Amino acid sequence: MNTQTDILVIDDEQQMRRLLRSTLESAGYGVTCAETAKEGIRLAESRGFGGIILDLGLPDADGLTVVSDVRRWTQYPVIILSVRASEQDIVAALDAGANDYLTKPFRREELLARLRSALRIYNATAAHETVFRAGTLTVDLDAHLVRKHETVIKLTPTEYALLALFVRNAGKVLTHRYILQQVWGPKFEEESQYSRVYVGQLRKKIEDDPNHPALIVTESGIGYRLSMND
Amino acid sequence: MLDYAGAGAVIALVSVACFLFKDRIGYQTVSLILLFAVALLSLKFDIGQVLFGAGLSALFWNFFFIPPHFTFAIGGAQDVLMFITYFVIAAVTGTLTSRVRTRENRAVALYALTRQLIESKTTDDVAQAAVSTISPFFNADVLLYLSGTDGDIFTQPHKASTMRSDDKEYSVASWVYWNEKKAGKFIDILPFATATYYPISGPRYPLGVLGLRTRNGKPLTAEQETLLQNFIAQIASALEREQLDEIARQTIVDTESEWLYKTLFNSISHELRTPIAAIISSVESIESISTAPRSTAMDFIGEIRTAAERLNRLVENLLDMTRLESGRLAAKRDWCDMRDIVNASAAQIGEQLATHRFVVDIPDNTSLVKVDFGLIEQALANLIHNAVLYTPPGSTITVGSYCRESALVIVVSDNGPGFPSDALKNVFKKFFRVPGTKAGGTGLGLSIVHGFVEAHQGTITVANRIEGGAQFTIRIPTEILAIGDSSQRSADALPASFTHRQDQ
Repeated sequence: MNTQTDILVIDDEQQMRRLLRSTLESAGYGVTCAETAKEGIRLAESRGFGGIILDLGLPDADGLTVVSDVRRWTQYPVIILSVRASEQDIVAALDAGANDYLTKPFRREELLARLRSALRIYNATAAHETVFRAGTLTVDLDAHLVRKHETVIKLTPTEYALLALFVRNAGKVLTHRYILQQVWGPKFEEESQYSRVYVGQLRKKIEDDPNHPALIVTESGIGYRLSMND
Repeated sequence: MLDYAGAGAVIALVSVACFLFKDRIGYQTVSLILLFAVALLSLKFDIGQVLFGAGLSALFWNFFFIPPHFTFAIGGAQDVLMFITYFVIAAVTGTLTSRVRTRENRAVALYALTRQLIESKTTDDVAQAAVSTISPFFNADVLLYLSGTDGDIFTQPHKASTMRSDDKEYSVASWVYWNEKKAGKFIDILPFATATYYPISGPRYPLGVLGLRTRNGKPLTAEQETLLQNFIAQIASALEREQLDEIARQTIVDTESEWLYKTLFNSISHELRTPIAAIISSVESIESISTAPRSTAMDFIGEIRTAAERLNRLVENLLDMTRLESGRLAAKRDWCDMRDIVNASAAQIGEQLATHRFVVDIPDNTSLVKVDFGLIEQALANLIHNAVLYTPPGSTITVGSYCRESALVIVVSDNGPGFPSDALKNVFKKFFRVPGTKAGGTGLGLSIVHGFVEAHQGTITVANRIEGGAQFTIRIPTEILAIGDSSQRSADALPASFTHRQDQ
């Protein structure tokens, strides 16, 4: 764990800020808090952070504004906190460049896992990690090789493209729109049946129990996530 | 004046026509034709014009037809008798027909009013019908005051009124209200008013007052007065009916909101207070036993977690209910894999599901369906949670789904005790709880399921299974995308090879 990482927390609820501060500090992160979108953006502009944890329902501005604003000059992880009722808002924030989301109430471990993944993906993009392992699955992006229980699995080109996308973003939620755009192209953003069908096929090949997927998990109303829990 | 000219013109026209043929038909026949014309006049004109026509036709007949022609002289005694008879018959026919016609007009007006009053749904409708009938019929302005449903005296004229009120008029109207006697213009009592006021009497208290100001400034005739009394009697009974109706409706609303308040208060306060009490007392216990073994503290922490989860579920239910009640809930349909939805629902229930056997019965190559993932997930989670709560541990809960005839069918069943048969028809009602069930639950869960299914234009039914236990069946009309067996498919088959069915 990188003990030097500073996290900016933007949330208008004092109790939530206290909770996030103690959770993050106990995990070794440095924490700076902001109460409003304005203050958050000012802090983010004034100095560098390892990542931002952002509440969507801020009093002075839409959380979406903060995401778009921050994305103009930096790619470091932004994790959204929201209430369950706001699926559309979450998707909008993710499509605007947020890295992941958590719904309140969330579990401590979940928060730390999401933050770890987001930081790892951000750093890996720089380091060019190419081999991914989860449970019994190994994916070698350089060699285009997928192994399960050490046996090579045959995937169709589309299935492989889909899996590679998940692997490069392991642990991060991917919206349906993003997946369609990356694997099939921008014209297919609305053709959601494609991703459903191919995720189903992929699960049959890589999951231990395709009916209870543990690797590619569904995020209700939002998209899919390649789980890092193993 | 125009009417008189019209009547005269008709008579003149008929006379001219007869004159042309007078040699052929003879002057006695002409009298019959003229009588016929007078009778016809009475169908269209008032009594005055008819009598004018009768007189005129008598003169024409005398002047042009009775010999000697072109004089008012009458030759023989026979002709004198005939002329007098003609005039009397013409006058009587005209008057009688005209009177019948007036009566008919009144009957029609009364009928129209009665019909409008029957169709009226509120006292406002009644007022509107009364004014719109009376005002044109008597050619008068109408001022209508209606008392409140509890017999309170009016303060404002009804908005349907066609004349303005002022303090003077109001004071006369209120005198009429208190004394239930007519007063105002043309009447000995309070004649300074500009209109005549009539009480609208009800069986228990006066229902209102009707003021009438004729536009020609003349009093009503005795006949019109009688008719107006008829109108007022009709209006009174309609008002009485509507007021009783409104009282009854208000009573229902009061009873319902009273019931809703009590139910909400009882269930919500219980559901909120129980977990809060658990959290507070657990926290206090942990504080006081800081030296106690860690396992004891963990027990209390477990209690806090359970209580918090229960609170969270309650809040979710209340929010879902609010979304439904707001009427703005629309299903956002997108392609979904039913197995995904069922997994998400089961994950929501979490560890509570571990006490039961949970079976998912969905074929491997199940079709994709177009539904709102979140809504169906929540609906299934509520059904599964319900089964967990109300069946003994170890019971089996089965979720199955299949597509049939452009509809998605989801069946959630258990092998618990099922529902009492008299409760079956009520399970989807808000706040309904099966009598005698254990504490916990607000009676919202299943009504939310019902609402979410309805948001998909779907249906949900519940029944007890023959082999025991309850079974919920959801049917949702949807597009279906059959997948087929992927192992049979050539590598990377294009989506065009999907069987896309949309045969609704």
